[in-house]
Amino acid sequence: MRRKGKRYQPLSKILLLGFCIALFMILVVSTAGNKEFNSPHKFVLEIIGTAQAGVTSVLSSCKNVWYGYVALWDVRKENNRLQKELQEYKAINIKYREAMAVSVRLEKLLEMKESLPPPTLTAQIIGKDPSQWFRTIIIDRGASDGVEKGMPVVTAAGVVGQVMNTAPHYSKVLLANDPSSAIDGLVQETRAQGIIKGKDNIYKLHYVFKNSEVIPGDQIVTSGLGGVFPKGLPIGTVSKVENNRRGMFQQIEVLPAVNFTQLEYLIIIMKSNSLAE
Amino acid sequence: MQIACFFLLGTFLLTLQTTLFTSIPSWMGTPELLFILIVFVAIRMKTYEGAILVLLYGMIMDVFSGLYLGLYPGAYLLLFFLIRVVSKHLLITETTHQPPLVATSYLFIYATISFFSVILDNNQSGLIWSWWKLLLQTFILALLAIPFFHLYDLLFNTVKNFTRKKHSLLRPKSGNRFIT
Repeated sequence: MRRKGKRYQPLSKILLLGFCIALFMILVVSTAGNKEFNSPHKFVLEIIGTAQAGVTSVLSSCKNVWYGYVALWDVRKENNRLQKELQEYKAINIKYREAMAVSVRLEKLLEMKESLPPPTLTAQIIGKDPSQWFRTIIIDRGASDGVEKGMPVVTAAGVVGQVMNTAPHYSKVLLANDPSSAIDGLVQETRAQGIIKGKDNIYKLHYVFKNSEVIPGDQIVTSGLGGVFPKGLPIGTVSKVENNRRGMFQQIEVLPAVNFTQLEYLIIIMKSNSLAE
Repeated sequence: MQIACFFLLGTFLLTLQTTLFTSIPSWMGTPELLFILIVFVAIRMKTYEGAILVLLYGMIMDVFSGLYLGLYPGAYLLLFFLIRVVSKHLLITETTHQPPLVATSYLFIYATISFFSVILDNNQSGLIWSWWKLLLQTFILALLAIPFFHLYDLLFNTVKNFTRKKHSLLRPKSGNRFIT
């Protein structure tokens, strides 16, 4: 009897194991090549995202203590510099206010449709892509905050990327410096249009015709085409322009407006209906 | 028990890699401890236990890295079975062979993921390929291979002994005290 039991026990184990492996394989095969998260992926993001948020908060509090102390060394010099800068910006601000007032008056005169800026949401980066191949980050805002796939992510300096996947409390963002990212951009001065693609730590501006005038130092902003990014967000500055003999387009390198190595807090530009609801 | 322990260890290492280690300057490289764990699992664990673990690690990596799902589980499983096949014919489990094994495995996985991500993307976008970073990462992994293999080995044996003791305590004793 005992021998018989011993013979059947491994068989049931093997069957259970085979069932589990089959389930896993179905899960892997069914999602292979997709970009959308399914429930297990969202669950994993929720669990490990919580751990990441914990580690990040501990790290940032350590950093705050350290930088709070170190910053005191040069505080007087820094204060003088900031005072000067403040005076300069105050003067610029007065000019902008004046321009804004003129713009509003003209808009009223032209009876333009009222255009409100889209609502925004701040988020903190809690994790970065551990691999050498991709440029993605995890943020502490998710579907429960109204974040949706495709929403643009920016900082005060410029474009950062766009939301790729969401879980209830966390989201994955594809950075603009990833080769898979593509943003419609235009040269602010000449209005020449192109597609910005990531290339490690710089961008490449593709599909700009050779007859378009682009020089190093030109500012690149979002064109608003495609409906993902609002128009006029800074992307970067042209650093190199090459015109090869062959081909129709120029080879343009762009320095990102955002320093991707020092990102901490981000702004998500919500779609008009997400926050309003 | 072993699978659960090593799964938790893997998630802990991934959490470290995505948070703490990202503050290390890029010119210093990143210690990919999860990758060393994957090679360790491929060598030390039973085939089915190891395969499940590697598949789980891959699925977690899919969530935190990359664009296309299924890329990491596929690449890691391929590496896992390759190591299993090679370890049957060669003595790669020896301590002295661990650094070259980890380095070679990393080069293999680097090439595999690059290849498949280009295929999945229909060659639409370029690939982040840096020889300098690749060699630096390989060197760091080779350097960390021996200490971390020992560490993982220690955990592996501890869990194994604990499980064995637990089983022997739970096993019903026969009436005859002379038969163990």
